[in-house]
Amino acid sequence: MHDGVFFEDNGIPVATVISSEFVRAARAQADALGAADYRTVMVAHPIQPLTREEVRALADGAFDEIVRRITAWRRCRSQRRSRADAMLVGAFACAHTPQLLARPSSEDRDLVLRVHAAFARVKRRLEALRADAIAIVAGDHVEAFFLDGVPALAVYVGTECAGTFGRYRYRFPIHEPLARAVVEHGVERGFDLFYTQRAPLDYAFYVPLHFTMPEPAVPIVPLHVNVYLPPQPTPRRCHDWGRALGEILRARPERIALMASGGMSHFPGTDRYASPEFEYDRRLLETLKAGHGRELAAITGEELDKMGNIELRTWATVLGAVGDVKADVYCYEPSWHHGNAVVEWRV
Amino acid sequence: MDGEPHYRFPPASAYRLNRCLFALKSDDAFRARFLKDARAAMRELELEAEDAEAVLRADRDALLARGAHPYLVFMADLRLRMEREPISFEFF
Repeated sequence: MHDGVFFEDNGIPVATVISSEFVRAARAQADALGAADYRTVMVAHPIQPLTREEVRALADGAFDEIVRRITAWRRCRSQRRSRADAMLVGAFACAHTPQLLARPSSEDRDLVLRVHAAFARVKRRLEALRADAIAIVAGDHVEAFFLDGVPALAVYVGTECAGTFGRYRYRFPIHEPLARAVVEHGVERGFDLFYTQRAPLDYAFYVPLHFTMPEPAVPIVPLHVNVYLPPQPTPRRCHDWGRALGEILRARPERIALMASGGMSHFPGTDRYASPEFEYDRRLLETLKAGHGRELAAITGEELDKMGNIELRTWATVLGAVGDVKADVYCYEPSWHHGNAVVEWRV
Repeated sequence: MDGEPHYRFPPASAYRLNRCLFALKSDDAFRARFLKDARAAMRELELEAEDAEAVLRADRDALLARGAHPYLVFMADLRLRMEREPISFEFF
C-alpha cells in the first residue's frame, strides 16, 4: 500500500493487487497514509496453495481491472490531493525574543504582556484547529550548529528534542513519522536536507512553543533554516523549500500546523541594536496583509541583513507553503530593540 | 560601515575566538571555569593572546574587528553578565 500510494503520488501509474483476506488491512493502511479512497484490485484468497495454472487464471480474471486502475491513476491521484489539502490546517509566524520569556527591567512590561496575549490567541487557534503536530521553522542561533558544520536547511528527526535556556529546561516529543517523511520526500524533491537525531533545541524554537503549545500538547517537527551564519540560503530558496514542504505536509494524514519563528527587525551584537527598521517591518506587514507573500521570496539576502530581518527566511519558508494567503496580523509591538510580530495565515 | 553586512562570513582565522564565545554562550561548565579563572579557561581553547585580551575586556569593537560573530559576542556577554550580576528577571 505504501509503495502504491508513494508511486502514484510521484507520477508513476500503479495498481496494487491484494487478496480478499487483506481488504480490511489495506483499507486501514490507506487511511493511515491519508489516501482513504485509494482503490486496490482484489483477487480471491488464498493465493499461496494455488498451482501455476490457477494463479494464471486468477491473473487473467483481474487483468481488465488492473488495466483500468493503471490508466485511471491520474484521476485517482488528483482526487486524493484535493481531499488531502485540508491537512495543513494553519500557519503562523511568531517572534521569539528571549526577553518575552525572561523579562529584565529594560523591557516594557505592558508590551511584553501584549505579545503574550497574541501568543495566547495562537494557542487557542491551534486548539480549535485540532492540530496533531506543529512543524516549526526557526533559525538555530548557533546552538545546535556551530562552525564545525553549518547546514542550510535541517530537520530534527529523533524521537525527542531538548534544550536549555538559562533556568529553562525543555523537552518535546518529535512526530517521528512526519519528520522522516519531510526528510525523505524533501530529498526526493531535490532539497539536500541535513538531518539530525540528536541536536540541542535552540530558544528560537522554544519561546513560541512555551507560549502557544496547545493543551493537550502535540509533538513537533523542528525545521532549521540557517539565518545567522553567512552565506545563508536565499529567501527565494527558502520559499521554494517551503512550497515543497507544503506539498509534503498536505499529503500527510495528520492535521499539521506550520509555524515560523523569528523576526521582525533586530540587530543583536551590532551597533544598530537600539535602532531597528520598524518602518520596513510595517511596510512588509502591509504587503503580507494584502496577500502578496511571494514578494518576500524576491527580497535579497543583502536587503534582509540591512533591515535587521535575516530571520525572515523562516517566514519565506512558511509563505512558500501557504501561498498568497492574506496575513492576519495579531500584533506588531516594536520594543526598543525588536519588532515583535505575531501573524496567522488562514490556510 | 555602510555596505558592510551586519553579519559577515566568519573568517577561519577567528575560529578559536568564535569557539570560545560559543562556549561562553552555550556551555555552562566552560562558563563556570571561565568565571573562576578566565585565562586558564581560554588556554584550554588555545586562544591567541590578543583574542584573549579582547574577550577579557569585553571589547565588542575589537572582537568584531578580529572576526568574532556579532551574535556570539552579544550572547556570550549577556550570559556572563547574568552570572556576575544576576539581573532581576521576571520569568514567564
